[in-house]
Amino acid sequence: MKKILYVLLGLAMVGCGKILDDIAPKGSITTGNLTEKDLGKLTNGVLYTMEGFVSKCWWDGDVMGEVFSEGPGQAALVDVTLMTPSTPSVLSRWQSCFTALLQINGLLESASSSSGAAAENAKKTAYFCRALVYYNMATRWGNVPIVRGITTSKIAISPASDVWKFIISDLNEALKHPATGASPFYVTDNAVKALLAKAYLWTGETAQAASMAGDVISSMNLLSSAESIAGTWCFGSTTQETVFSLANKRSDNAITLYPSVNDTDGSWNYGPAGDLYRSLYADAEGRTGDIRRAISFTDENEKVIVKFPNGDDPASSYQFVKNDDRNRSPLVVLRLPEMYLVKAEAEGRTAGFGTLKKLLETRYADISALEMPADDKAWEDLLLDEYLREFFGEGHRWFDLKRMNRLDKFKTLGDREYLMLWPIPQNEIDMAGSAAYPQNPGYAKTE
Amino acid sequence: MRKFWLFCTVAVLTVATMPASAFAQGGMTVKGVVVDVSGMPVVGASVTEQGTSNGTMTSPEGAFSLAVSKADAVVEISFIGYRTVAKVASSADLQRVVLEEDAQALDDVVVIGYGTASKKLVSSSISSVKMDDVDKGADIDPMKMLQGRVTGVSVVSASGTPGDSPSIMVRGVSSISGNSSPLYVVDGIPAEKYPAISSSDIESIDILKDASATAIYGSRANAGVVIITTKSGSKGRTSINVDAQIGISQVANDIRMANTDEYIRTMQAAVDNYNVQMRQAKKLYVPAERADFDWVGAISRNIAITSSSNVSISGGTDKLLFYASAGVDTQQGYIANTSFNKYTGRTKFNYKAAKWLRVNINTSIAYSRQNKAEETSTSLKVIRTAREEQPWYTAYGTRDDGSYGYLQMTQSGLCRHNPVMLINEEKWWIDKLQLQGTLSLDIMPVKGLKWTPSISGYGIFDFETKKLTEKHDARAFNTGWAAIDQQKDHSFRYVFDNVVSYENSVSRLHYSVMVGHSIEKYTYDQFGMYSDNYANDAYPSSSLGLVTSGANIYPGNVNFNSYALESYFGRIALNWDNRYIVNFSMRSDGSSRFPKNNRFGYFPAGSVAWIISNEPFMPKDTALSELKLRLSAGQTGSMAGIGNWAAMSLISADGSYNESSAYTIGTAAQNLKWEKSTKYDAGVDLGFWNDRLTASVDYYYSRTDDMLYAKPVLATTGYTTITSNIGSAENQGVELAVNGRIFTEGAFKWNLGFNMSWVRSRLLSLLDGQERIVVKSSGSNLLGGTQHVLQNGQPISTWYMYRFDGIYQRDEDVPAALYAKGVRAGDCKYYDRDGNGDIDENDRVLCGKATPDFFGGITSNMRWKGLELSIFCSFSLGNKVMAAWKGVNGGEGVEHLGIASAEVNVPGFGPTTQYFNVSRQAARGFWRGEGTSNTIPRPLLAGVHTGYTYDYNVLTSTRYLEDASYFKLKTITLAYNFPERWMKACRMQGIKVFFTVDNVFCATKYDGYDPETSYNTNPAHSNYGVDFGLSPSMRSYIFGLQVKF
Repeated sequence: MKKILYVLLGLAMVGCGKILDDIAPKGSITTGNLTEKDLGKLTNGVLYTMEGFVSKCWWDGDVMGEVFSEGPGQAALVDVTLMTPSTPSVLSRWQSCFTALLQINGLLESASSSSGAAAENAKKTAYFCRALVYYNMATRWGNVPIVRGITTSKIAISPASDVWKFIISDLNEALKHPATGASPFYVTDNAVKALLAKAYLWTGETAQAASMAGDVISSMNLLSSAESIAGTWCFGSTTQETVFSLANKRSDNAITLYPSVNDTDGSWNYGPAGDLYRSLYADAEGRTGDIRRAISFTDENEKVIVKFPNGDDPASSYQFVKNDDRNRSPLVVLRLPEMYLVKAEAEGRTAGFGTLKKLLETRYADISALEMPADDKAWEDLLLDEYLREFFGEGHRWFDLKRMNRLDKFKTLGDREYLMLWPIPQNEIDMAGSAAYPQNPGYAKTE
Repeated sequence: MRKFWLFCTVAVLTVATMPASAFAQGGMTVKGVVVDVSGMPVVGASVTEQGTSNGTMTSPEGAFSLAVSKADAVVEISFIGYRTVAKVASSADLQRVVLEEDAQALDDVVVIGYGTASKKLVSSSISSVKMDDVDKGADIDPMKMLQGRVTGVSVVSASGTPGDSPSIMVRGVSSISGNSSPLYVVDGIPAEKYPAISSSDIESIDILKDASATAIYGSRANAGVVIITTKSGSKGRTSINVDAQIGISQVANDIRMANTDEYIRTMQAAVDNYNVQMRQAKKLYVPAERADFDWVGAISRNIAITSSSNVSISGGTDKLLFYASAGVDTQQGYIANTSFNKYTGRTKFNYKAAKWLRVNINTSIAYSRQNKAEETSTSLKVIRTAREEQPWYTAYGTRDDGSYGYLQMTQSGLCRHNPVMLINEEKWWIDKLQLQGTLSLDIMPVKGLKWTPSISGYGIFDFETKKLTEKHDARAFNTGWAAIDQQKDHSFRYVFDNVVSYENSVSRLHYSVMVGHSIEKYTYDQFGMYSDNYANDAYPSSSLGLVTSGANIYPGNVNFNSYALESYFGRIALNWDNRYIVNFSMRSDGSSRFPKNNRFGYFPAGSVAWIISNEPFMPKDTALSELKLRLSAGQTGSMAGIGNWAAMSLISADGSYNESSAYTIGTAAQNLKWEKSTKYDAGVDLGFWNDRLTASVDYYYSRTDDMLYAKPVLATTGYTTITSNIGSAENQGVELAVNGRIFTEGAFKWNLGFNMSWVRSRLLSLLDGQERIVVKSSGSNLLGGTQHVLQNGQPISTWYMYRFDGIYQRDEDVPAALYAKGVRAGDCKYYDRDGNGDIDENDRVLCGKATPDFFGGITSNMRWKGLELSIFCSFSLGNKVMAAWKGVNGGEGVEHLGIASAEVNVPGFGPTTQYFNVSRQAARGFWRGEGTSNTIPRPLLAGVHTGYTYDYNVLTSTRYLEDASYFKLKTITLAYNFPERWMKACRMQGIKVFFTVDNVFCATKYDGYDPETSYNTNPAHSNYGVDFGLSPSMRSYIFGLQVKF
């Protein structure tokens, strides 16, 4: 029987050693196991991350641009242009920019040594997305740290001019790499050029802006019916006006825009501000019968915005076009009409008026009586009105007013012009020190 | 590794073969053997010449040889757990001495890691509870019964929700990263979570507190170790025990809400105050037809029933010992439709296959079902919702479409979701199956040597189902919710231990050596999915129960986690003549959570004890019967804050783009170390008058270094925090336990026990020289927002907020900056720390902490003939609780006084604003003019105060922070034992009937349900010490019966 003892003693020796090495996760691989074949999936991961990023930034321009009022599920919107270095949303927006950059820079680093079609597409996507994130940062904070790769070391804040240079250089880099297809769900040359046009407009390089926007315009066509335009925000849609859109066809963790403006349970966050519901799409001098009213508003309820159709529940369906899958509607980042407006703005009143009219012909029942504005201010007013009519609920207003420097249009801003640059989050200054992270002007006195 | 084994084996064998020689010389020499009742030799029994220091110990064969000074000297033979035998040296009886077990003394055995020891001879700090001595009251969870019964262990219940586990903390807060809960070891199997066991099956719970006791569990021992030993059979007649009890429970301390009239008066005051200040003319809508509906009553039980029953059968022969039991515990919750039922079964067999071989088999099964309601959900929170609904409406009414049914939020005029709908239209239950099995052998090839290989498996299977009907208007049509959601998770742990121990005596030295090796692997698989909801019209009927009934299926929580540990450990215990005791132990743990080259951590510990009362120079006949000094020191670790994959840089396959799968980049590999604690303990054990009065005092100090924390980092890294080893903290405390058998003789017997623990935790250092980290708020703002701080020199769980200084009584008293923000007389006054005339974040101050300074309990057992009266009290002092349910930091809660409102559509009237109900206390006590109140502000609608995210009056302040000190009369039990002669007549061993009142009385200043509550169980968490307003604790009246055959 003592033999059993030796057998057991032998057994006791088994199983040691290797057990600690055999533990590995099932839903992940280690970076060392990543191959060139995985670049396509990694590119998808960046676009997946961008869906989250874009949706987080979505409403800023509308809320701060004073075109929204609170809906039934939202605390009162008071002094919407006010920010302090401790405002939670300022910090969370700042953080989501860099969270997205981690993915983008990771993709760039993984693709850097490869050169196949997947690698080319990866690089094009990464450069474009990095520029899109920095575009969002430059238009908000102006001065931000430029993160060119994954790092844990401290990077000082660069002046806005350098940030814009970085954006334009990334976009030019993106143009060097071929795209894999023409779907607006992926990064195409048109997408890159459209963002370049917008960036040049911000930096005042109007000739380049007009030229880039012109390139996009010449390769695409406008729609002319409210139904077809409204279809842009329906499940799976890529209308001919879509320049770049994030597919957002997730099976779970849905990203949805409609619950913020047109929910089914009566607790949405935003509705049109003041009398915008009545005045925004009213006939104006020379412009009558704006077809876009039906895209944004419904006659049934003056507190909802129907641009992002909320599905087909008959009980609570305030929607203009039918949306088969409201939880998987695309996040449209760049649309062709913006290129007309960008080109018109870049060309200036005399040259731009013709460009603008081409867009308006598709948007109104009749613009035959529209005359060129008498002066530049009236021209800006016309452009801003059209930006608002076209992009209501797409986060434009605050940025358009800022770019054109028409702060007079703000109702609550007063003399607080410093608010046009977002504050660097105090949380970050506390960690980096004010030498590396100088606060934007104007904020010190309010803290 | 094999070398290690070889070394250990040689070491053990070398010690084993040391001659157990007798050093006796001169005079008469007494020789003999000492055996137990079964004839087995008793090793290490002490053989002494009475009245002298002359003595020896028995060899592995039980033999002894002692030279005594004279033939009529009295030789005393004693061994822990046995009755002492005294014989004259010349007596022939000494040739073979039979020691009988002493039942009383056996109770004094404590379980230590990988072994047992006599309580009298322990040199470390261990608290022990014998479960049969505990008056269980209404609790199902045995861990709740530790509260107030052992020193150094504080227990906090999350709520009165049936099936919720309490959180246990041993000797203060040991971590800031997460886990401060101890390691649980059930019959030798370690687990981070407390397993489901019926309290009737538990023999004892031993809490290892100091490093000398815990270090044998190395890397998981920082927060203490709780060892649970289940019952075994014993030799003799087979006995059957039946325990049964049934109880009814009612809410112990209710929170009264305003009735309709009080509610209207309060809201009218809020509207009036608003109109005056804002120069508006808002009107309060009051329906013509008004009920006075008890919303909380509509979702709660007036009387909840609890029951517990357990049957066990045990017995044994020389060869076989067995114990088997089955039990059922049921508990209804305060919220109707909530309950917890637990079914347990357990068997234990010990079979003596040969003289040198014992086979032990230990299996258990536990199945439980928990029926839940959305009470912890920060959006639906049914109890809060019910409290705050307008009292003039009822739950049911005629709907828009003419049908009779639930009133709907907003559409029917209700300002909150109908709580009756919430609890009826969602079915949510969690089934849990826990299986555990251990097979071990005790191989004893040589006397004194024991080798115990054992293999254990422990599986937990969770099945969670959530079903909504289409009437659930809060979720049935909303994004992200499903008509049916199923989650099936399982975890599995196996442990393979090899422990070799040897004990022997040389002269008066009794020594034991233990070495062991352990392999442990844990895996956790989550798998779940959910269907569409009613918005997609995909789920045909609420009576179906499979996710496949829907058109689309989506993944729920799908995850995998695993870790492994490989450990070597050993202990040497030396005992010289029951006077000087030395212990040394060492454990080396290797964990898969660390990089390959940096896996092992080493955890040494040692202790000494000096039993002065056994010294020959101590007079024998004084009042002092025991005096023992203990000292210990050692190191333990914690790996709770380290993720399973922390050592790897990972790319995760998660998410998708355009219906194609995606990879995302995860956290880069982190270079982390164990959290390490160095602990010291000094203790004195005292006994007087033959241990009629015993006392035990311990002082301890521990310092934890390399504490893990999610360190905030610059956003440019792509992260907001990265887990790092950052700081140090210390804990120190004093523990005192006194027990007196006041009356032991005669018909009236009385035992009285008291214990108290004092603990002080302090952070010593944080991030790179930083003074403080304000703990980020977590979850809903309704939990209180930012309210804790980690600060050097302060305890973990320190509150940090505005100090509420009363109410401004006159407009002139309001500083200009606040006046400009709309603050007027009747609004809150906060302490302006920086004196700048404004209230901003810089004005927050330290406001106490959420963990107590002192806690303990009092136990009294009186017995007169067959009658027994037991009283148990517990107390806690020095902690504060955040009454979040009152409405801190947001537009809800019973003291909102007008801020909380909803836009509703009243049928027949149209859209209007409606306000949440308030507590009766607020409705009757609010400020109405100078001098009327200095605690509750004036009612006011939202929008008057500017400059704050939520209203000025609801800023996170000490207005909501209340003293949570309490003294509880926890249980009173009156029992009657039927007389023995009656029992003999019906061939029974005993019948006991009892009546218990549980949660009798609570003296506290806190006006919530119960001062012992916390939304989160981790002391460093933002929501620790927060009372969100979950199910109340109940007062129970219990009838019980115990029958022994």
